[in-house]
Amino acid sequence: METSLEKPLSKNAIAALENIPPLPSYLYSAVIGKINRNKTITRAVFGMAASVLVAVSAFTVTQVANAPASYSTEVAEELTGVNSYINSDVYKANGNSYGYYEEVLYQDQD
Amino acid sequence: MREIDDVTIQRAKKGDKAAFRAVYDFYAPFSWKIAYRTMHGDSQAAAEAVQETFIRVYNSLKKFGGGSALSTWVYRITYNVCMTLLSKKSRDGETLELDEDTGPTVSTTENLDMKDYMQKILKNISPEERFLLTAREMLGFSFEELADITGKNAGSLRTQLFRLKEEIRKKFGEA
Repeated sequence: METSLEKPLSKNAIAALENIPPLPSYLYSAVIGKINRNKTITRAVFGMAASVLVAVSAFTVTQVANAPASYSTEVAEELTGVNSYINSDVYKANGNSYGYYEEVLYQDQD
Repeated sequence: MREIDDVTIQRAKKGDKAAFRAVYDFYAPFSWKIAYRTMHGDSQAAAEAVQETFIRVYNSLKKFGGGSALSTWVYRITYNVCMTLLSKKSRDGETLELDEDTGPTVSTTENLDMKDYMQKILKNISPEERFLLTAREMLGFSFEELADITGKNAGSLRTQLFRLKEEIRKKFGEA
């Protein structure tokens, strides 16, 4: 709502205010040019980010795939240890008790 | 404020290049006038502001929800871009390069005097006041629209402009 007290500037003052050159004709091309440049840069950045992501994923997948193999190796080593203990003199001297083996093997964890 | 038709807006939102061109053709002349006066008659700086405005319009048009008129939204971007550029220039110690001749030749002595007066007036007021004077007196924005653009209270803007015009009248007689 405008008040009646609000007196506009004179026509001459407004004419002086309106004394503005026309919008430069090159400006639209400049806008589109900059938009396209930005798109190219964004695509390049996303491309690089995607490459890094793929490389990181491939590395992670390899690590995961290798994990069961190393776990199997650990289990095999432990079984070898058990086997050699069972065949050892200490085992035989203690009445062939597997429970004794467990006691010896895990005594540090009690 | 005049608005472009809704169909064109919707097409532009979907990435239609011709529709974006129509949006530019419709709003850029007003955006240019606001930028030119707010940047105190520096054509280069005003062109930079309009360019940045329409890059932002292009990038954000999809998110424009229609909460306000598209014109208000576009001119708000122009206003904010101008303020950012001005503060950046001020921070970098740059000065605005005023155009020597701003547009059509003025023939009468009275108009010539008024042109000089207006230059002096615009030189001595803040960028926000220059925007206010241009948008209200020249482009006919309502105070509600100005409040929406600047994020300030319509009543405060009305008072600010009233005082500014009183000052202009005192300094330059009639104005």
